[in-house]
Amino acid sequence: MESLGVTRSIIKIFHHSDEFKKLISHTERFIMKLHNIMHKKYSGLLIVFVFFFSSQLFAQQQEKARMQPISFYEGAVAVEKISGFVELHDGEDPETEFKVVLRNEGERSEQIEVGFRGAQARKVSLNQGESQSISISPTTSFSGEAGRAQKADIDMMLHFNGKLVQKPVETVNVEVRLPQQASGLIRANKQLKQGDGNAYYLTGQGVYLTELSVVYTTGPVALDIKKQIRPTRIDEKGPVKVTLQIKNKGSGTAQNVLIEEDYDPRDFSGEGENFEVYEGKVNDRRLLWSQTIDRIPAGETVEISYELIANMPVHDTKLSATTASIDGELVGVSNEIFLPGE
Amino acid sequence: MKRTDLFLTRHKEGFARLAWCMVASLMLVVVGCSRPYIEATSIHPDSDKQIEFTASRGDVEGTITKMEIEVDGTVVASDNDATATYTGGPYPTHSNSKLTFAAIATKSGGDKVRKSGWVYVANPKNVYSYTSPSGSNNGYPDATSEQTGANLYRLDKSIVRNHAINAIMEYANANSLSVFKVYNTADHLVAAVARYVDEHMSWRSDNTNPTVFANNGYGNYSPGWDFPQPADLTLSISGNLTNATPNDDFQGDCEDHAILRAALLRALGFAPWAIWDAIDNPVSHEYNIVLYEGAYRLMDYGTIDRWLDTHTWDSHRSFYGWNENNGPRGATSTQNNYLKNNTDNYPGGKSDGEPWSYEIYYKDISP
Repeated sequence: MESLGVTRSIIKIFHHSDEFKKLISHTERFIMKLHNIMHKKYSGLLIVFVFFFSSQLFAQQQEKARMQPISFYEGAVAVEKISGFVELHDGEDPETEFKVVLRNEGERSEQIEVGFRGAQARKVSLNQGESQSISISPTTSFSGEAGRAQKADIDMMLHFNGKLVQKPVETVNVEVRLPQQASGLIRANKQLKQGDGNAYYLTGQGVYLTELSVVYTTGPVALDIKKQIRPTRIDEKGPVKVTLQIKNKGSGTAQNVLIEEDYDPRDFSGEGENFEVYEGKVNDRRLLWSQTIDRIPAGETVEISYELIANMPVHDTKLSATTASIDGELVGVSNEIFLPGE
Repeated sequence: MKRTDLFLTRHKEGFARLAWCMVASLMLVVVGCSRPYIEATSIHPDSDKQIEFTASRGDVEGTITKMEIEVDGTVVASDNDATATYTGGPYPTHSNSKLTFAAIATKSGGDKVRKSGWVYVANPKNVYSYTSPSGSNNGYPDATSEQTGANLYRLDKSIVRNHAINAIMEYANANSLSVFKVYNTADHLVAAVARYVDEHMSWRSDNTNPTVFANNGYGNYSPGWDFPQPADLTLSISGNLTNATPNDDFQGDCEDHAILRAALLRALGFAPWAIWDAIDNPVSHEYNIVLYEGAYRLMDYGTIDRWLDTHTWDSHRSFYGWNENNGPRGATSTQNNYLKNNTDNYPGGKSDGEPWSYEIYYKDISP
């Protein structure tokens, strides 16, 4: 049984994960059968066979758990402009229409496949120096219910030949249209400029585009919350005044609006009934602040101020956005405030 | 005469010779200890960065006519003075290995004295193999003992990689850099991930997080201690609106932020030995310890700059640690002292020479 011992040892060399353990028991049974079938003089062959078999299994295991490095498109085609619109709907996926203007900066013609990440790509041929406008669609996702807060994600990351485009997009101008019945935008993960009515614009020059997330509501209440602090830089410990301007831009009266904020308790403390020091079940602590506003009629603005105490200089971090909700439904999110470094 | 006295008398001359030899040897040792001084920018310089070497007199007495700097066996700088500086590299071919250097001082009489040293050139990039998830609940942890890096980072899920790419793209935008440059610089990767998580994720209590999971198709997610959220689910469902009021794209408490940071860095090929999840002792907070600017640094709420120089109060008591290579996650002093005991920490086994302490991760204490 010496050969069996050696083969087991070989397997143990490769034995390094739970998945592999399962394979080992099967392999061992197989070896036992082989050993019984084969005569002792073929033991050497058995060892070679098992070593080869184990190596293959090990290699497969490594291959399965491997990511690919990011690959970049390094060709001569540049993105001159991305424009178009995102039409958000009440309770449905958004519609999009995007035009991408490409320019061949190289000295020969280029053929590439152009598409947004995860979406269908389109083949394009560009002669030397040629610019061309093409239409492509991004992947989108939607969550939420009609008549309430809803969220849409639009992935605008461009790929050429399935690779990341190394050069940034020269000009971006994308219109984001809320549904007609929408009371307003609750939040977006990129800065959007407000246009007329329910139109917002994502613009930029020399930028890489990633996912755009937009939260909006078609419910009767949508609160626009502007959060400010004084002083605007926290370079020393001491009092910080927080001001919240809350405007109801919806058509209905907002009632029993719960306004919530949270802070890192290493950075800030506060006194009064609105503050609570939250101690997590096991891990994490937070300074919570909350207040309920009885009523904000449509079109009106309420202003709230309170005082925080900075326990030390606070730099290079953000203050989380203020949340407004009615009966557990999101109706408003403020801006975030980034506290710059020295 | 006693036997010992007789012995001493007989060997008097021999003892005198021995004493002279010892004195002479000691003098030689003292003379031999006069060495110039040389230091590098840091003890673990990045493989994608240049290294500055500075040579000075050290304790060499008398006139120094020439000071040379030798790197990897070759003299790279020479100055007719008692000091010399040299900026060289990057040294990618020395990735994750020692790079030797020396200062060679020539004295007025022509004698040369030499001081050698080494740095460990750290390269935490381009590690794309990862441990497959093995949690009992579709790869997710189903018990505290299954809270491993593999089961919580979920590098097998494309959403983790997608957001890791978002992180370097957005960092490139914010700093007017090429995304290629960001991707190929270890410090940029760290800064990009810290920024991305700070920008897109906000705190939410573990009183609410399990409810959100349950309302979004993960009612059977039961990971045990402290409800850590797998990175892919933080990215895909924590910001959903169903029975929740998120104020950001992703939500979670401190360990969820730390898990996401580690997962995003790993998805960019950052090495498992260079990124840790750390838990305070006593247990109150979780965050990351990451190889940044040539040493292990704190990465917590905020950008990477947030905690580099802040040591004005006891904000972190890093003790328990876990990562893809060490774990599972937990906080027992017998099983989870990985930070203290692990040889990866520091890479190459070169620390500042002081005993391990949780304070080592502050810039003013760690070298």
